Amino acid sequence: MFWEVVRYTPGLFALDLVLQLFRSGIPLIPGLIVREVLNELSDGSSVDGAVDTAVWLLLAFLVGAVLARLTALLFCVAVDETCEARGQGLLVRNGFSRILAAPGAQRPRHARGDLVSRLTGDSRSVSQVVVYTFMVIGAGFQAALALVVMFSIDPLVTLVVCVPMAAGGVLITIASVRIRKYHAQSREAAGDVSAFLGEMYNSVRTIQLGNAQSRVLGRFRELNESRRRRTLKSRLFTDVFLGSVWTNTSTLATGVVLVLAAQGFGSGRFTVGDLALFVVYVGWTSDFTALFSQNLALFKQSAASVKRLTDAVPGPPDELVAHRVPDVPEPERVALSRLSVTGLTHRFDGGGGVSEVDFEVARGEFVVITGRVGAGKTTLLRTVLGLLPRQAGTVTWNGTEVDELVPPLTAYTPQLPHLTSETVRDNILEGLPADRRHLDLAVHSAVLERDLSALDDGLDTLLGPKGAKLSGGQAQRVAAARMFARDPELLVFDDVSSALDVDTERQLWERLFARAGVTCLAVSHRRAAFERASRIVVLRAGRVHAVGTLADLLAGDAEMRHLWQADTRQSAMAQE
Amino acid sequence: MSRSIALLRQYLAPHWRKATALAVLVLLNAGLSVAIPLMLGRFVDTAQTGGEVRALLVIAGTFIGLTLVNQVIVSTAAYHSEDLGWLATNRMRADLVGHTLDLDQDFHQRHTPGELIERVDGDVTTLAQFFSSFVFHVLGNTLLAIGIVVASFFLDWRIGLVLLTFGVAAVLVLRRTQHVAVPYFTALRQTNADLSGFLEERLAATEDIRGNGTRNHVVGRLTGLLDELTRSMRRAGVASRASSSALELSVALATVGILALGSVLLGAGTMTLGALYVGYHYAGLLSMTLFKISYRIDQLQLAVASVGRIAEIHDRPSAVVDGPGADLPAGPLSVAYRDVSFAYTEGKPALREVSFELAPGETMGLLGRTGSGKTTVGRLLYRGQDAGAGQILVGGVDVRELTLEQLRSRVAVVTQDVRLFAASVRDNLTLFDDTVPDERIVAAIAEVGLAGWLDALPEGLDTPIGEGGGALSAGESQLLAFARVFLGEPDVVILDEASSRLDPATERLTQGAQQRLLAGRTAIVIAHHLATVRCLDHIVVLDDGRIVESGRREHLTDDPGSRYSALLAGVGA
Repeated sequence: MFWEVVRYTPGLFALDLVLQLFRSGIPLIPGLIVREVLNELSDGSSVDGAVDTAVWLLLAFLVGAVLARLTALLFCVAVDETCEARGQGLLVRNGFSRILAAPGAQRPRHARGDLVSRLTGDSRSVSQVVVYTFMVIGAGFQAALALVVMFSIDPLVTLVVCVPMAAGGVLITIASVRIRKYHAQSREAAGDVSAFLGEMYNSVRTIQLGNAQSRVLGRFRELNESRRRRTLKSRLFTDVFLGSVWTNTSTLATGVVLVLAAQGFGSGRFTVGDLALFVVYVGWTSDFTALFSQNLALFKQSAASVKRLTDAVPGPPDELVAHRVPDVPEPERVALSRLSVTGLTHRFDGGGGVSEVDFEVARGEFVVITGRVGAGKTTLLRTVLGLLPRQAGTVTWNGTEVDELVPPLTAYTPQLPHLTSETVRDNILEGLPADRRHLDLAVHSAVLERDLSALDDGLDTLLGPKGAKLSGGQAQRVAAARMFARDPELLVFDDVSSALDVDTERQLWERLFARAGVTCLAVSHRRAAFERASRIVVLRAGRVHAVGTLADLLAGDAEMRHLWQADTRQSAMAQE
Repeated sequence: MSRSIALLRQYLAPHWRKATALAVLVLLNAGLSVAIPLMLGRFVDTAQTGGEVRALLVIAGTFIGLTLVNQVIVSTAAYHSEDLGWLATNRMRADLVGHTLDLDQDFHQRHTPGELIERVDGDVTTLAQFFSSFVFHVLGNTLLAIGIVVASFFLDWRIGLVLLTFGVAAVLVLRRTQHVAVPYFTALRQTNADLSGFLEERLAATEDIRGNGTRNHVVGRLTGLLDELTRSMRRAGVASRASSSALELSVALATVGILALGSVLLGAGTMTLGALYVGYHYAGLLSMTLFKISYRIDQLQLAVASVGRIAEIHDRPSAVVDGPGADLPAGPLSVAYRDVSFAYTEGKPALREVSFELAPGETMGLLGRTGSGKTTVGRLLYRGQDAGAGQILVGGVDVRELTLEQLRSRVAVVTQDVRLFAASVRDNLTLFDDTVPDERIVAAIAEVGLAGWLDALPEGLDTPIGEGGGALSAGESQLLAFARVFLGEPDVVILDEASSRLDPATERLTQGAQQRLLAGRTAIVIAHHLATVRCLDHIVVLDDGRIVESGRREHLTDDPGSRYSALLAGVGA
């Protein structure tokens, strides 16, 4: 998976690698220059008072090298961030497309907040690790280069210096298991505190009435104390232990250089410039050890992120890194003459669903699906549209089997539509070209014009989170306008009038049937719908109980009579 | 700021020994950090003047020794400053929790649990970081920076001058560049929030998206957001390096300055190579130190904001306070409301001149539509809030004369909203009171008909039950709430009856426990089931905060014109 992220933008990552090498290589130059300057100065016996022009030149070089390094650094950071964002973007886009490719009404395996955090957070950590690895490669290059330079100056000192650094690296790697364990424990203790606070503030009345304030406080103190102890333990390992190992390896190495240099100085084998260079280069090299072991830890963590991602996203894991996501093809418009549903079945694991449902909708008809609560009305609509998988049975459009019904064949208004926080216009159009007349027509059909004029900015009103600005009935009609705007062959809507007042409902039906040649399939339990229906399909416990015109059913079917009566009572209450 | 210092003093004072020890360690650390590079200078000078290898080895040994000692000091100080931060702020957390637990219902209705957690834990943690980092990093590093400059003056006043100039320049550069990145980070956070918001909304709307064929459009929008994310990340990444880049450049200039100075003076023989080397080393150390200070000083602003929010809660008085205390007679208590009025918001009275009396042991059913004020009647009795006008007497004493503990040890409330803790069955029933003997707890559980349930628990009373009562059914939770009341042995019970969310079988079970609970106690039952009311002595019907009907139940039942008998007949139910 990591490799595929690199291969998605190969040019970018190649550029990143080159820049990493520059960014890491250039910092070595000042060390060399300082060494030269110090060496030049230390055997200054030859010069009397006047400063060698070579020294000035070297100092100018020093400033140049730092400027070059900063340029390389800033470019490199820009490319690093771009690489990271591209990698994350790839995973987010693919993951999201995969989720959208699953049947639309199927409940995802994970809670939404969790899904969002997996899609954003976990894909970031995967992508981060890739970029981080490139950084480690750069740092490795730097360390290798530093070792080569040091080796060329004094092989013995270099070899001896490597010992404490290697030991430090091993120590850090070994300790990282412990560190993670303690870190997890301290996070857990912190979680306990927050959880207890949450329970406590949700139960303030219970606590106050039970005179339990002081005892609850005692409990809170205990949890706090446990968090303090665990956090300290974790800190002891990360800050104190790791910090010590880290600083000590490089200072110990410096100490070793001093001890070894003590002999070399006498013989002139080792100079002050060499000492300065070794002190700086030892620092760079031990940075690499630390970076490397950190990367190992990150790599392990990101393996968990990969798993969390692939768990959350349906479909094979390698599709998560697919480089191209083709657009979903839109079906061609085929004028509806007959929609046939045969033997359609979708059963839920926990019970419920629909079984072996047959019915037909011919052009120009208005077919109503009805039944009591839990009879399977919504499930039936969803299964017909392909929003839930069909476990058995077929749906045909003019005799041709179709898997999924979408515009321009059908458009759909769910029972509880989910609008976005954008403007009313965006919610209705959702990507359609913004044709004013077309939009007005959809608004008219959905009886929205009065509501729109009451909103501050009309069609341009931002709906806010969860469509906060709209009532339930308004949200349903915005969704209906979205359906009308698609001008489909067949309108499919679920209980669209349930949250409407009597007047608006009447207008909605009138305008619907004023549309030329309209064909509808609707779930409803309203008399107004029954009265206009060409045919009514009565569901009972997931099966077709009866089919017929209102008059036939009222005459011959007790269930239908019950449903008809139920609506009288409801409207009586609504009018009260 | 003065408020922060007052808080700092208040909560650090008890730990003054630790704080003093810490200050000493910080001082030692700064001193050693200044001294160690001097060893390197000595080493270079000794070597340069052809000193003996032995002398060089001694210096090298001292260098290693001092480095190790310094590391021990740093580690100890880091550990203890962390500890100090937690000790001090844990007390602050406890004080805040204690205070908020005593605050009135009105406060808790205005502040969500999430918000309070953020104050008590989030803001206090920011403050803890400030305590430990300010004391340790800012003070320690400031000392170190001053130490470096002073030491360099002793070393050679000209090096001192270069470093002082560099230090002042670096501080100016840091202050200037530090906030360059802030707007870019704000933008990045916004882009990330937009992305999460977009995903969250679209994941909720998969049915709408698929049913209306807008998949391509939605994925296209996402791609646009991701492109924006790329731009934001790039900008923020580069901007975030502004400060350190500027600093790196000024370090390079300082290094060049010192080397140039050295090359002039060394030639003239007025400076040793060792001093030059130390100056070079100090330049790097000083820049690192200043960078750390400027990084930490930002937390100061966060901490000040946190202190403001903490103080706001800390200083909020409770609208309901203890009365002076009074003696209540033993046994069941009488309850009387005299012309009680109350409004949650001014001008919109929730109760208007409500009056009724209950003799000890009498029970009353409170009926009325949602919003008629039934719950408020109960809330005023246990002083969730105080009546605006009129008087409420329990056992002949005004409730405001009693301490809250006196009142609430005699008055109990059961609602359908049962709150359980992620704790053992025992702790949930006693609310963490260890002094209640097990036999009493078991008896209370048996009293509500859960003896069988208790026997089935793997660890008996010690069995943990989850947050929000995870493994418990709604009925079991309700019964445990009854058991809590049995344990408290109250003399007045306010029962906000559970509604239809229980299944019929469980409902029968709770009805039984409810009857036993009311026996021998004065009770106000906010009723949803007429079945419960049928066993009560009095009936009061509320409408829009006013009593529209009251009387003994049997009188109302016999009066065919009463609202109660209309309810019994099933009209308008």
